[in-house]
Amino acid sequence: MAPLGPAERVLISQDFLNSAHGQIKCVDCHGGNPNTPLTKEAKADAHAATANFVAYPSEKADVYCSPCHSDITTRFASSLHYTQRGYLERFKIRSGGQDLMSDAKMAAGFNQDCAKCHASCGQCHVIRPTSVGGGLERGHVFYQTPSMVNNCTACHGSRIGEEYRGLHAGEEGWPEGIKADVHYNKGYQCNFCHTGDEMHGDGTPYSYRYIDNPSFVPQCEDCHPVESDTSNIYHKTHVMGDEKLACQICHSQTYKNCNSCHVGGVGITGHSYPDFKIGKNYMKSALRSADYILVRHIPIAPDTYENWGGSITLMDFAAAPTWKYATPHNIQRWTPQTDTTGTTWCGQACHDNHDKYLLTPADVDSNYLDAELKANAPVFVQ
Amino acid sequence: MKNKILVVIWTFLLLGLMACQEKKSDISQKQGLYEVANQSSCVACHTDKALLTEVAEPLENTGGDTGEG
Repeated sequence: MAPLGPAERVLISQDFLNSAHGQIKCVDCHGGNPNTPLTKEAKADAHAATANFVAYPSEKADVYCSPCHSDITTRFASSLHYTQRGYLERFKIRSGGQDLMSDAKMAAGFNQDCAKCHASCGQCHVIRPTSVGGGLERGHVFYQTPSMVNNCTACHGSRIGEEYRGLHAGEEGWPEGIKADVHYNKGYQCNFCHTGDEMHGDGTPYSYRYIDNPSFVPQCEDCHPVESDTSNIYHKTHVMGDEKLACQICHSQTYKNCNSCHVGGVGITGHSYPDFKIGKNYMKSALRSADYILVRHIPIAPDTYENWGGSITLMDFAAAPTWKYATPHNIQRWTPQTDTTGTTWCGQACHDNHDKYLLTPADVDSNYLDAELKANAPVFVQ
Repeated sequence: MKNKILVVIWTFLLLGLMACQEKKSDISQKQGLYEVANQSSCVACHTDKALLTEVAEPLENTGGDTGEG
């Protein structure tokens, strides 16, 4: 994503002025002083807080967006993109139920380091996300479908975005032949699977992105029903058989994992690395009924939040795995697991590589050995 | 006669009140939205790339060009 220059970030286009939103007075949404001289010196006066200047009106969607879009804003107010409740609830699981936001130092740290990933209406439909510096994406034109590169993967970039677009091809340390996701190659953008309804929510304050709501959660079977396919021996055995595998086990490629992220600007103190690990499904549900899934190591560590200087610790760090349920976005029909070239039987490529693919205690972050072994006990296959 | 005068006065008062009453309208009419935007200094500046290039300042920390998710 090419960054916007300082002028481009705030330059409005004629298309915007001709649009419906362009008919609204600037001050109706942004406040400020509209009667200042066009000089550098007057810039501060035009954008002064005392003139009630509002840089990001949609942060208050109930005020600025809801008069015309209340059907969406009322739902979005409780969506995970807006509330970041998914993150906060995951924190609670490891902190013995303590709310991160109840500690002033932790809350300040969260707002500084993590809240930039909170999304407002504008960060998907007008500007680039503030986590990458913001700036008007299309000269202030409001667009219904967010840009995959400049909106969606501006936040979901280092794993999903890179995998989906095949950006690890040729990268040192990655296997040869890594490809972009087949859906990307066919031209599908994020919104093909992840609809506006999923993004905006239904008004229910869900606590996790992996919710059991088939109306929201895209399923491979939505487009690729396999239950009726008895001609494919892989599907017959591993989808309709006694032990079910998640689709990604056969159809994903190697993906990025990270160890040990620390707040306060320190970042990843462990390392990020390509890997491909199959674990037990530790969160089976109606929609996620597979017995085995792919798991990705997330960059959490027992001391991740220490630099905020708060009083809440991850006292129950092992209450959730660090190798987490994963749905890598790098799908291909033929992968190292399914490619039978040069093999003597159809499952050889996978079944002869159990040591490589199956998650075992040897795969944990050795810097936090005891905690990691305990946290991932429900996921280990061997 | 007195009653007729009172009826006429009340009728005029009622008509006057009805004329002055704010119409229930959608938000766009109520708050002056969808009027042609005034050519304020906001528009004058933010459509002038040369001027913006002169006055806009680069961000100190853009946070990179891709997110961590």
